[in-house]
Amino acid sequence: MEHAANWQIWLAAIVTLGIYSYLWNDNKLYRMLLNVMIGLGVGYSFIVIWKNVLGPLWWQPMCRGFSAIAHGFAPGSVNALWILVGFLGTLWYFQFSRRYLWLSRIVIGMTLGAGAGMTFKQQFLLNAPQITDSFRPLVARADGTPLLNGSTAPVSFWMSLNNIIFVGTIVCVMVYFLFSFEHKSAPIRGAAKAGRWLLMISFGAFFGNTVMTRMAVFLERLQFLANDWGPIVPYWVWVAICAGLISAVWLALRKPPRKHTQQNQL
Amino acid sequence: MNVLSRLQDIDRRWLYLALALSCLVPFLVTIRLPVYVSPETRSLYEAIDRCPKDKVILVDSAWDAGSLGENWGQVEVVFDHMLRKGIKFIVISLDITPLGPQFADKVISKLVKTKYPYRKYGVDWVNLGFTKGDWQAMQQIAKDIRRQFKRDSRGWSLDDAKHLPLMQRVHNIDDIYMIYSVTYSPMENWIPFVHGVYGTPIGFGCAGIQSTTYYRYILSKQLVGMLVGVRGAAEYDALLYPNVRERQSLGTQLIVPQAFGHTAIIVAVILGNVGYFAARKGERKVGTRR
Repeated sequence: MEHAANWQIWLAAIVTLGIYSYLWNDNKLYRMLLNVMIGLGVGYSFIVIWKNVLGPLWWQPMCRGFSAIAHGFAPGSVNALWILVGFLGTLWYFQFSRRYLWLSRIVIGMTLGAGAGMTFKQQFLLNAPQITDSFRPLVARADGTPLLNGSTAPVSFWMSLNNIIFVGTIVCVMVYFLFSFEHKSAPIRGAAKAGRWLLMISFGAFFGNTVMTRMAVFLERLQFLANDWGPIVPYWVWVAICAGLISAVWLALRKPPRKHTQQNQL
Repeated sequence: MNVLSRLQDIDRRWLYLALALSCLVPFLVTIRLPVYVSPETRSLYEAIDRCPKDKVILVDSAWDAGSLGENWGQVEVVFDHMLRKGIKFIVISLDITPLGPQFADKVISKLVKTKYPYRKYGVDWVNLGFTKGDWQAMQQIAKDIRRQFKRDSRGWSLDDAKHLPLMQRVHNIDDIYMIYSVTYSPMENWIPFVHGVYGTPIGFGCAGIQSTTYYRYILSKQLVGMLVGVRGAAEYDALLYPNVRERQSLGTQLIVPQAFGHTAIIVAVILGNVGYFAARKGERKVGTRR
């Protein structure tokens, strides 16, 4: 933490350790800190959204529009129509009224219509290049072109192997997800089985990356505790922390953590 | 129950302690490990390096304390690259967190103070702050950036030539060379609504957990490059500073403890599996005797 005063570092360290206390067990300090964090986040977001988005893009133009109307329909009066956007927005809140629920359906319909149009464009532009890219030459030249397109580049073994694995994976995984008929014949059954294994490998990659991310979040906090907080901590605090850790370990040896039973969850 | 089978019943708190201690070692003792640069990091580096002098790079820095461990390093190395080479850039924070602009300012001010005191706000970079609107905001920025942002994060009007001379030559997507989006999970909508329509190159900096879903866009060349977690930041730093002693980014600082932590987890997984198979073997033996 650049230029942070000692009390700020201490506060950050206490909050960090308080949040990590959950690793030992659920406790009131952890819950309190969690609620404080959520409250701070929501409050801050509300102010920033008003200041940066709703204020300059909706409220101020609308006010200028009404001001122009008040001055005899001066140029810019059309901005007063922004009030309609506010009116449509408030219709959402009729979700809370049984009697006027139908009003909220107007704006829900508009949102769904706009969303559907946007999603069509989004999916087309996102996935069409993916489909195009999945057509790859199984015997490829070093410049990525197929064998029979007139290129003078030499045939690349590794690029060809890469493309074979790529296309093979797509086909096998797609066969695995063909549920419209029973996988009776040996080639279909084999391809589906290979597809399942390939999916397992991809899930393994997902899990490995999950560990990497969680670890990075932890390491940044550990670095803060070791490099920023550590040097300003008096020796007696370290003694107290070590004593606490030793007693915690001793307690752990005596009493195993409470297991979550099905009854507890219910 | 034999000794080996007890390995699968180790109290999770012992594992937490072992993990914390193994990660702590590299913070106390300087250890250096080699970094191998992946193709997606290299292609992002080369793309940014090719930025023409008359264009700017738009950085969507939408992250906060929640993903600081990975995203800080990812913007730090790219800002370092652009400030060193004199590439002009604009920072925005779209949708995800209103704290994004402050964190980006922190990274830039640290770099300017320690390495580039001659770089000036408004001339070399501008922070336009937080905005909302997802794909509509992306389209607005592409058509006319002033319709989405009236002022920068410091309150100056975008038309203020005295304080923001850089913004006087940035109006729409034609003035933007590429977009680099850094957050826990960058918005895919940059690809269809900006790259798909205008052909502007897009680069991502994402959390490792999300990277698996974005690799397909690199293969199809919809993404020009990507920094994956701490690893991506450390790799980019290695490209920026071939001499390992000059590397100071957060990515480089965290990559060695991360390697230690991963080793500890792999050891724990192996021990857990040994315990599992030992317990199963024990159960079979008991079954045979009966």
